Amino acid sequence: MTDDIDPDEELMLAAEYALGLLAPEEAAAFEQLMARDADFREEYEAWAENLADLTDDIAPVTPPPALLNQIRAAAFGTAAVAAPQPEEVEPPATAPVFETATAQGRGLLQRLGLLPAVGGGLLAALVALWVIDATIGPSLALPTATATLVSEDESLVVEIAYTDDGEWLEFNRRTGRAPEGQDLQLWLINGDRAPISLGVLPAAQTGQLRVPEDYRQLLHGGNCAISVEPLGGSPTGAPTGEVVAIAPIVWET
Amino acid sequence: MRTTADIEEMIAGMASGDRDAFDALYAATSAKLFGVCLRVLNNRAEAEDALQDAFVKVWRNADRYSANGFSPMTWLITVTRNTCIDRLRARKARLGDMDEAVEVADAAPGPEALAIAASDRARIVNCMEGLAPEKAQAVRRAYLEGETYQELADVFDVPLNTIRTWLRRSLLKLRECLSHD
Repeated sequence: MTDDIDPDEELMLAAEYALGLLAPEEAAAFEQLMARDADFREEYEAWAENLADLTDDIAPVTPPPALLNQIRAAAFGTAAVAAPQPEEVEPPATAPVFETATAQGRGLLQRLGLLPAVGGGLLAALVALWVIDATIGPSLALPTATATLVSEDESLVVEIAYTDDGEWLEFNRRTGRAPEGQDLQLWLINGDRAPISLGVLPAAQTGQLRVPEDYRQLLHGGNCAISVEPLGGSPTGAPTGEVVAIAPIVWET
Repeated sequence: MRTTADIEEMIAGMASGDRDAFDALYAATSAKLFGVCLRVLNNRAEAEDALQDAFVKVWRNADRYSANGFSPMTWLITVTRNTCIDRLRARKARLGDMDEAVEVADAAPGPEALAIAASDRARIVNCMEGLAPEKAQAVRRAYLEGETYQELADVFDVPLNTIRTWLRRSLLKLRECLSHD
């Protein structure tokens, strides 16, 4: 079968992304591609539409009645657990409604409402962020943003935190370091823009990176990523090495 | 049976925080989505957890739904499927590859699919018939069982590089078929 049409490699990435076949760094790179280029986004959407039809032959199964209340409690952040009423239909009228004001994100992943099916460690981190985001109340004075970056094999875990209007982004390197003779560089990725360097991660476990004023707004709805770069950081101003971790920036209000 | 427009309206309601709209969406779609969870995870407790995660994501992201290019059922199915695959992969990571051998014959179309008249079947189902059976099975396994290239290479007993070339060709063929009217 040597006369097969040579596949358009980039275009086929959309199918592989939809199937969850890409490695996390490939998936992250493809998301950047989609953010920049509507053709790739449309290609992915077409695949997602078609592939969803593979579930046509799956018979519907009514979930257990008690599950709805549990899901409502998880979604609305109400304490339904304290008063289990499995058959209750109306949601509690006095429940707080702060949850709709959270997560102002406009990053591609968040815009789509989709997290790609990628490796376990990264997902665990994303799931943890969902949980944190869902349980924080509206008590903090200033919105604080956090992201937890975890490499696929969980050998690198970096937490970042930022308080709105501040100059400094704090990082805490829970575990992991740059490969010998290389540096880790932190990037801010927001929508259609090219990745913006937030600087090389210092070797210290904790520290601060300055966020230039022009870029602070982009922390809203952005993602953070870490790439492996030559010593001193990317020579080109764009990521040149492997993207080892990516995570959405989550705002808690 | 709810129409696409009904479901879009429910999602729009949820985007403005309407919990009744959430209940309506749950009533209209949870059985379908729970079926998907059971199919992917093949474990009732995990399927319930995954369904919960998926609906929480849908509630939280309803305000962004209009910005994506999906039809509403595709969006709901994709969120649910991805949530289940993530869980499945986390389970596999916990258990190692112990359960690999028992999963093999699982991804063939169910009897329901065979019962649907060809004219009513989704285009992708018809297009899959144009692929060699093992290649159609590989696509199904990737989508419904979240199998990675490595797992597919093991199942079909071909080298990792080969499986990627092999599957990409199948996907390209599928794409040609799907883009024909």
